[in-house]
Amino acid sequence: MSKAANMLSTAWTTLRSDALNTGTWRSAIPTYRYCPSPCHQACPVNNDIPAWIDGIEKGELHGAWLKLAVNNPFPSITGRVCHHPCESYCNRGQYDEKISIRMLERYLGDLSLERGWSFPAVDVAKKERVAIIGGGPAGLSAAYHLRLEGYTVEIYEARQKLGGLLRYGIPAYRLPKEVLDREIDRLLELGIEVHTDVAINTPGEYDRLQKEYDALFISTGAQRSRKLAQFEDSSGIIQDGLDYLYKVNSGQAPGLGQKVLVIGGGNTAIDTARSAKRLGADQVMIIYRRTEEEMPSQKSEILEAGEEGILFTFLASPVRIEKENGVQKLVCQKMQLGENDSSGRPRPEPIKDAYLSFEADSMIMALGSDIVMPKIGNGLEIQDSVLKVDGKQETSIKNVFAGGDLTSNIRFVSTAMGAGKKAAQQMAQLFGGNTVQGSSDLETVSFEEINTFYFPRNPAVVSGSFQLVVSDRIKNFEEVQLGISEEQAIGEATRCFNCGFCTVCDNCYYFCPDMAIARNSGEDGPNYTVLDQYCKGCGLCVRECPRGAIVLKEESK
Amino acid sequence: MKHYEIAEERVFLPGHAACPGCAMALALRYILNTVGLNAVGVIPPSCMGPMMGANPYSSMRIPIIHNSFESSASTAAGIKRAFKARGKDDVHVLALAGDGGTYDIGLQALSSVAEHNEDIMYFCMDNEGYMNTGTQKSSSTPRHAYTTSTPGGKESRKKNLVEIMAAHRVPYIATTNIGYLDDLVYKIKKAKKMQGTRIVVLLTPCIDGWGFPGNDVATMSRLAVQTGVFPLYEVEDGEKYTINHGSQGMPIENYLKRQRRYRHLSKDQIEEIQKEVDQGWQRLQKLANL
Amino acid sequence: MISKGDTMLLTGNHAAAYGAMLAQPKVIPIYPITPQTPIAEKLTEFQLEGLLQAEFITPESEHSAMAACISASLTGVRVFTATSSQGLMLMHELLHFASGSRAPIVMVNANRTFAAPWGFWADQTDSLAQRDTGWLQYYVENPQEALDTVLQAFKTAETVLLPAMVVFEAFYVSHALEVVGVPTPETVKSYLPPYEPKVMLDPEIGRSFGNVVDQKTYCQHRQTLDLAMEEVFDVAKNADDQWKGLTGRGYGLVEKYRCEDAENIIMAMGTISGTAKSAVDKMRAEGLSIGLLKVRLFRPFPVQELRGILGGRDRVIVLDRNFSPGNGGILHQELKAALYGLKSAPEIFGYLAGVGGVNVTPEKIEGLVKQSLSGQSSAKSIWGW
Repeated sequence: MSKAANMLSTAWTTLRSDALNTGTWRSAIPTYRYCPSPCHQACPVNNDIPAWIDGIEKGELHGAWLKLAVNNPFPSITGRVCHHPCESYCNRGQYDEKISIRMLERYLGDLSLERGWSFPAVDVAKKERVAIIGGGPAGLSAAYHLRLEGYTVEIYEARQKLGGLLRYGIPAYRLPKEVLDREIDRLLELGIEVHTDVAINTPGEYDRLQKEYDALFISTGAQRSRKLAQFEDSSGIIQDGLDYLYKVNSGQAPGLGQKVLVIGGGNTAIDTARSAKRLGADQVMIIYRRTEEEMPSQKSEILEAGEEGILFTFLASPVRIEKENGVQKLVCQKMQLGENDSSGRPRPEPIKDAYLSFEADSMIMALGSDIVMPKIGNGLEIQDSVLKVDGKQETSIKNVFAGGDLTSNIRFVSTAMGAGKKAAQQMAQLFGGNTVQGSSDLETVSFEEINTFYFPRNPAVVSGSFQLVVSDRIKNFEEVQLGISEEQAIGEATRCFNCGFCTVCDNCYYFCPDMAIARNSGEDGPNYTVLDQYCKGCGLCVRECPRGAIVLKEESK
Repeated sequence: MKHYEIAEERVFLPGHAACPGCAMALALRYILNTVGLNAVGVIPPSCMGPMMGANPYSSMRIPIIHNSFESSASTAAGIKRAFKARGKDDVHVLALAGDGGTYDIGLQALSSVAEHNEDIMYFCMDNEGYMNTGTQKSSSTPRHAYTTSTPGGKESRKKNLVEIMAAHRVPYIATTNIGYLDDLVYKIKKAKKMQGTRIVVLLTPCIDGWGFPGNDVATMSRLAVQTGVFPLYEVEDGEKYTINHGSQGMPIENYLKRQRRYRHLSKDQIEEIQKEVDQGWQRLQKLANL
Repeated sequence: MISKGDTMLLTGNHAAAYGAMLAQPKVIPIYPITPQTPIAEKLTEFQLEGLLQAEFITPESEHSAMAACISASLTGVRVFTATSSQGLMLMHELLHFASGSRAPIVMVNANRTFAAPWGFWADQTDSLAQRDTGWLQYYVENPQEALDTVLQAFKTAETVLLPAMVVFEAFYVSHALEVVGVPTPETVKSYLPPYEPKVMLDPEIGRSFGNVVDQKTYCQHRQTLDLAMEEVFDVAKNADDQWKGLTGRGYGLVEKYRCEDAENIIMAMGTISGTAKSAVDKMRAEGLSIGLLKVRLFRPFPVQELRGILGGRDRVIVLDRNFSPGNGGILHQELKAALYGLKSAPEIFGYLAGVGGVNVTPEKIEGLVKQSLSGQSSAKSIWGW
């Protein structure tokens, strides 16, 4: 080789481009964000739904249940009775069909019971003690979240068993007692002392609790049934709805005869009607002064009641009971819908001189209920006919918190649980423990941010629900709604957009033309790192993120 | 959800000089990283030159020769034969050319290489024009598209390269794009296992040349498939057609309206394009015996 | 020790093919064109007979042939090809590419007129038009020199890493049968070492070639090319000397015939040199002090050697079988530039002799010499056909 033959380097490469910096081209950088999903935000207990659904999709069922249990210790219960506002907000509803979140929740809950999973043991012990008065959904939820933080919790329950409305207000065909018992038992395994058959209803008892505990949480519910003045004195044939359900749930249901009328339009009305049918009533009719559209009960309940032969008469309001030839009749005035009232629903207005009458062996009044004020000090206030609390569930008395139906007219099981959770978090903060990390004011991921290419159109795997046949249903209190299989659960979970929740799908990694996304292998910390040296800020990763978990943030240099 | 799991050898490196969000760079990543390190590449004048980075830097860990515009195929054949002579027949030789370098100036050499069934993999990054020189028309530019050399819209239709090459009866031809990464990697893997002249045509939507947002290359790639403009298919031995992803009957307007190069179109012109696309799709289905 | 090898009756084409075969190139991309085609045919015959183990590529054009030559050469193997006229013109772009790639390809070019109008005749303009492409150019006179020069070209090209062209004229050499000494493979093996470049396209090396460089790097690259060309004089001289040592045949970069005391020198390239030798003999017999200087290596142009030989002579008569419109004979122009500023430089006469393959007889050459003896030289080449 000659000298010139050895001077070749100028046209042959010698270096690698990864020594260069193309990050300087950038004016914006992709950022992995926490952006709640609409279902997450709609959930009264702020359940991180996309996270545990992702667990189901990946077949990591125990992990999924643990994630679910962070916010909700009762998935088997809420998986049956929650009014599931999450589903109404589900982004997938705008695409083909919403995800059956409640069924997935129930699936995980039932699986946890079947496999005997326990909550992780509480490994901290804090000195503060909290008394919970009323062991219904709000109280149990508060107890759980306080206990998780390491506080000592004692529950005072007036009745024989814990559960409140869950036990005594919801019939077994909707929520089997075994399910209730097992989820409550598992909660108590965390180390919670329970005083059943202990009613706290005197100032003296409250006084003692206030002295003995660092804080109280009162969740005694709304147990006083509303009545109609014109029926005050009619004895014998009139039953109170809540009272009837209590008796049914305690195995002491009274006979109602063949023809039963139920007055009201809420869940209690439906529950009593369906219970009466199961207990042998031949003809059960619900009388409601507005129309089906305005009924406060859940639509699925109305549908199921209809299937079971419950009759409905709308736009009728009871006036009096008449007795003719030994036959009792309920006379109702015909109504029509007028302007909207304060509840936002059309006001029912009587039509003059228009009446209907129905034969009845007995009648059940299910007109809703009011609270009984706890007898504690003098400072408590009432607002909108419930106990007034501030945004932190604290009453006007220091260190006395309250929640559930006692403090709210929005009477859903999960709303009550949400209040219990919130109160627990506030108490923890009060005690100097964890600060509350609320996300309720964050914007949610919109449907437009979902890259639907990754989600082939595919109607719900668990469309509606799976039920016992009607003929079997009305014979007993067997659970009407059936659960779903693992295969169905995974299939349905696979449909979930997991809005805003990084499922570590690697799309951002795969779609980077600049190899500027690094996958992190560690357990903790973010799943990916954006490599500052290379990222040109094109935003393809943001666009190809199926679920809106990345945004492009402008940078100033 | 659809989930990618792609094994890559790290051949294509960051620090390259492709435009941000470039489809071609992404395609190159999967071509190079799937074929692996035991390869030599041929790059004619195209966007892939700057993408490699200026001397003495290279973004590609395999040796690349930057050849003349019209001779990618023959250059690749020369390398392959030299390796054969050296007893290193296992080295993969890739030509990485644009549509100008393939449909136009490089077609003659490619035809010859295909006729000889030279043992190379030929990748055509089809962005439907001379984008590297500032958007001029090529014979791959579709009808009515604006380029700087067809300011009133191109009057002739896009050349059907796949059918031309299929007529050579080469063992493998495939179309793919980065909207379907699994498809793309599958086809490169398949091509890699075969011998003879293998041709893969990748539609690589050009952000600047077509005029669409810089984060949209995958979306545009998919729209091209879903509307039937660019079906993803394979042709084996010039005979056996397999459609992997085809038209979903989406109106062509969904594709056209997102691109600046089509914004001058009249309703009639859109209909004309729709008709052409429909005919093409029907013809392909017939070839695939569907 | 001189090895005689075989003696055969060969055309220039076949002699060149023997030279190529003996060099054992690994890749031969080749495209047919008259009058070069017999080279390709002979090589494929050799392959069939087992005398050659090369990868033949027969592409659709000379352009693709040269593209494959370059890439194969850069992949580290010895490469040979041949072409002519139109084919060479079509390769033009890649001739630059080859030298820029420092690819030591050896190519035989049979000089032929180029269109339009069509013709098949001996004319050196096709290859001389490639003089700026960075290739070595040897112009040879007969089949024997063709064979010998192909081997010398490989040796020189692979030493300096530049491509080399071995050029002879259509039919006068390509198809003319002459007695040729064909060296033994052992002789060639001892002469020409295997081609083993340090850098090449190889996954195990991982380096790439030819991407965009900045101005300074480009300039530097060109300067290195210049240095390589500069080295050619010594390298080619040694290659020739070595060959002479092995076979008894050497030619020099320029060949002097009866120049010792000559006041007048005829200067030419290719077959005209052979004809001119008879003319010189005749004129010497008549008492004219005259000799012949054959330029064998045209690129790089042996300026220093020419200045040394021609200084102090009275006259140089340049015979150009080529024509550069607007500037006349190319060797004529090159020589004027080469001798510029030389004290005691001879007067230079330029004649366009044999353009388009016109036969140049000894009498014609005599006539042109006599014309120069009685006339004044002019800057312009004179049509002397």
